Amino acid sequence: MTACHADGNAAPAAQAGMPVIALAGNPNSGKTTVFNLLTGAHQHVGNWPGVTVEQRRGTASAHGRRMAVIDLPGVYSLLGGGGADQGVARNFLLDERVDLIVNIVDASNLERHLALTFELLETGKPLLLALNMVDEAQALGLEPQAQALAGQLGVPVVALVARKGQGREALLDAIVQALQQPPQPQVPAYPDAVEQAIAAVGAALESAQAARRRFDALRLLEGLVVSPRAPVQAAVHAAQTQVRQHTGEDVADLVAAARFGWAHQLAAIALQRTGRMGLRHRVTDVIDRVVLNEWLGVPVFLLVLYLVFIVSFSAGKVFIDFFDQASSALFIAGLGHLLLQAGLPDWLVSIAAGGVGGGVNLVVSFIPPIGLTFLFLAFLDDSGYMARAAYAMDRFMRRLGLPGNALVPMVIGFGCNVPAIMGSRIIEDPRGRLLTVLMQPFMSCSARLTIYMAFAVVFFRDNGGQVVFLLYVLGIAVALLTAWMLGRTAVPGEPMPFVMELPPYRLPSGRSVALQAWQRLKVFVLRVGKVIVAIGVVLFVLPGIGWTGDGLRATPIDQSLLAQGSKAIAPMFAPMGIERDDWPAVSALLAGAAAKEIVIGTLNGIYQRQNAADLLASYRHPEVGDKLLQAVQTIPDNARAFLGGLADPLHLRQLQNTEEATQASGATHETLAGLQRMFTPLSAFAYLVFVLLYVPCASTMGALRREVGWGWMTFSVLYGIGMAWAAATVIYQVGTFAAHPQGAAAWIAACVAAFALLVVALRQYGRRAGQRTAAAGLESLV
Amino acid sequence: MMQNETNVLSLAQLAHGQCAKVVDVDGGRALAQRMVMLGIRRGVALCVVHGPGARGAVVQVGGARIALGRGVTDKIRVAPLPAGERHGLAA
Repeated sequence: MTACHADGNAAPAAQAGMPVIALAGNPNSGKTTVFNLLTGAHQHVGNWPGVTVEQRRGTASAHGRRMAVIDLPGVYSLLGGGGADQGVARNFLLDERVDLIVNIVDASNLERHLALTFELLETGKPLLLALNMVDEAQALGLEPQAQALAGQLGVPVVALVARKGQGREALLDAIVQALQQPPQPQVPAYPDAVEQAIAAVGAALESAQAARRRFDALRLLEGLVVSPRAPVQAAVHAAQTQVRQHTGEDVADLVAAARFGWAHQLAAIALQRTGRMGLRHRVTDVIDRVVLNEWLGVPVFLLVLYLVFIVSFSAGKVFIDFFDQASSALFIAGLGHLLLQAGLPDWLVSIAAGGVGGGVNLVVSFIPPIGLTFLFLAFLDDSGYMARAAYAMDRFMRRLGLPGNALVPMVIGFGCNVPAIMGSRIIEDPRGRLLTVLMQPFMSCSARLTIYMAFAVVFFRDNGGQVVFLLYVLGIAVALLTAWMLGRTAVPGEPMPFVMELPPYRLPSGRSVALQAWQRLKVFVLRVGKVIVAIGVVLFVLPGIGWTGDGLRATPIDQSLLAQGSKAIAPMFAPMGIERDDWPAVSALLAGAAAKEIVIGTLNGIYQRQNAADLLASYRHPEVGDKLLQAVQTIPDNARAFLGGLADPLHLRQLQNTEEATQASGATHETLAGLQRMFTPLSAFAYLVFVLLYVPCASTMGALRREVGWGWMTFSVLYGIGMAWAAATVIYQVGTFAAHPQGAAAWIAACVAAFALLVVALRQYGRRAGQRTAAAGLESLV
Repeated sequence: MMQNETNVLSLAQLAHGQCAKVVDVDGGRALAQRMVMLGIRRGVALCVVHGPGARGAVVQVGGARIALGRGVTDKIRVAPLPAGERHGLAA
């Protein structure tokens, strides 16, 4: 594990003096709920170093003692058959300092969960068992016997219903007790022949740690990994043959039988049948019959996603103006005022308040829709529906080479691409995750909608709605095409076979959902915030200064750096109908590469020649109080608009009404007049296609880089620009074919040829990558 | 492992509601290991609670419900168990 993606998340044992508690358990065991119970708000969500696996760590306090708690990824086993999550959990438990393992198990599914307990006992670290979901076991007619289980295991056992908060005190007491007097359970043993094999292979391994040797020996013997060292492999083969000769069975089978046999015995002791059968499973059955129905499954899913989309973004709109105006009052006007009072020079105040404050304002206005998206998704996930959704959509998505749950990030992307990319973590298969992430930039986000609206008002008054809908469809089509194409060329392979546990349906715990959404929102705001604030400053400065005979000076916008740069690149857009004089259109595109929300604002700035002096005046007399009051007053008005617009999330009807659309896009009349001058309906449509496809905003690019690395991010950016340019050019040339048939044909042919070349190049890349993986063979022992 | 006279089918060929004992899992080490981790391994009883169909099937194994895609249900070989008993399943 390298530390290059550290994010400051190295092992928490670095906090001197605090004991380290690791939470381990299966997915769906309620582990995260327990984590939240123990740490409350004192938690931090980040990344495990070197992998895209979420890390949660925090601190808990009890009886005056503080302890570090780390939530390991949910795994079914530490040994093999899983992905990066398993490696993270295994390596942490074997190599890092762990004072106590708290193993959370689902009492209603005890036997399967105890299989992991067996492995945890093999690590030799002190263990405490948290018997969770006792209520569900009881609903199944099984009464958990915590004492009996504790007696058999030799470790403390605490019964809990974590989602209701029951058992929290008992758990904390037990943890404190266990830290003072570490329980040392007996490491369960395999049949003699197997133990001898483990010892033989272990002797050939290098690690000084007994537990590490045992685990590595087991993984080698079970054939889950190979060692690059010949003597080790020789020892493995010898041991495997020995076992087969003595027992007639394979090591892997004996090990599995031992583990599950042990778990079966323990589960029988731990659970007493009371005969009362449960409602819970019958309810789950009934709901599943609808949700997984052959015909209803897909429509139900689409309906659920539609609701997520609506509630998040439309309801979020109820509060956007409030957040926007309030933060504008505080961070722009208020900040400007404070800085002026502090005696800073005017130009610095301008940049600080307009650039930095403006950036913060932009990020804060995101909070309502994004926060609601996270909230709603956490709710759905907690309820157990998401697993069904993945299964319902799997068959359809598989034909495109994508996993079923790729649809969830896709739909979130219609609101904003950044949480969509963050949300792609739910996809286990790394190949599927990569493809899903690369599709994201083509999902037309809500910020792009403002741009479409401005153009629709000017050029497509009568069928604005259809044009916008067409753009969305085009975006989806390109996204799916990209995923399908990449899946067959550069990222070859089959989607992982679909295997997923479906937890019983539950009423989501409000506290858990809120906490999870809050954590995600915090991460999002901080990441996006940094980028947008930095960009805000740059874009604030660029239209105001330019190269003149005397070097960099403040200039009117026509001669600013922004204008000069735009004029320089404008010729590249000639094939889609943009002339050099239309440089504001290019400026808008440059601004849009930073953040789509500021495109219209940039155009307004260009056409209206907003005066710096006006802004400074508002800093002198900020009237923050009045502005805040106005901000609050927007809430009821927007609430009314929301209720009225429930049937029309894309606001297609709004486009019919010019005044409303103009207002919604934020474009001033000067800007609209400017658009009229620069474009024709055809070139306007081509331009919109370019906006749809070219590059996502800087925040999205940042999110891309974090998920899939610099290489794929660069590809995505170049590919996006290429596709956008080609599509816009082809559209414009086809539209103007009659005027210059030869030129048009040449352009169109060039675009098609370039695309063909790209596919060939990608296929080459894919072949070489495929060869490299084949040569590497089975996963190497790490 | 000796095969007895009972019929061995793929999971995909079972009927809705039918229970069976797992005989083997084809399809390579990785898939077999994933199945084992979830509790689906040789000798274990499972019941089909949804499907089987074009999408696959949902089976009850112990106290858990596991959804399996079509490609997977084709690869799990099972011997049907007589109807009536719940075969030690939790629910």
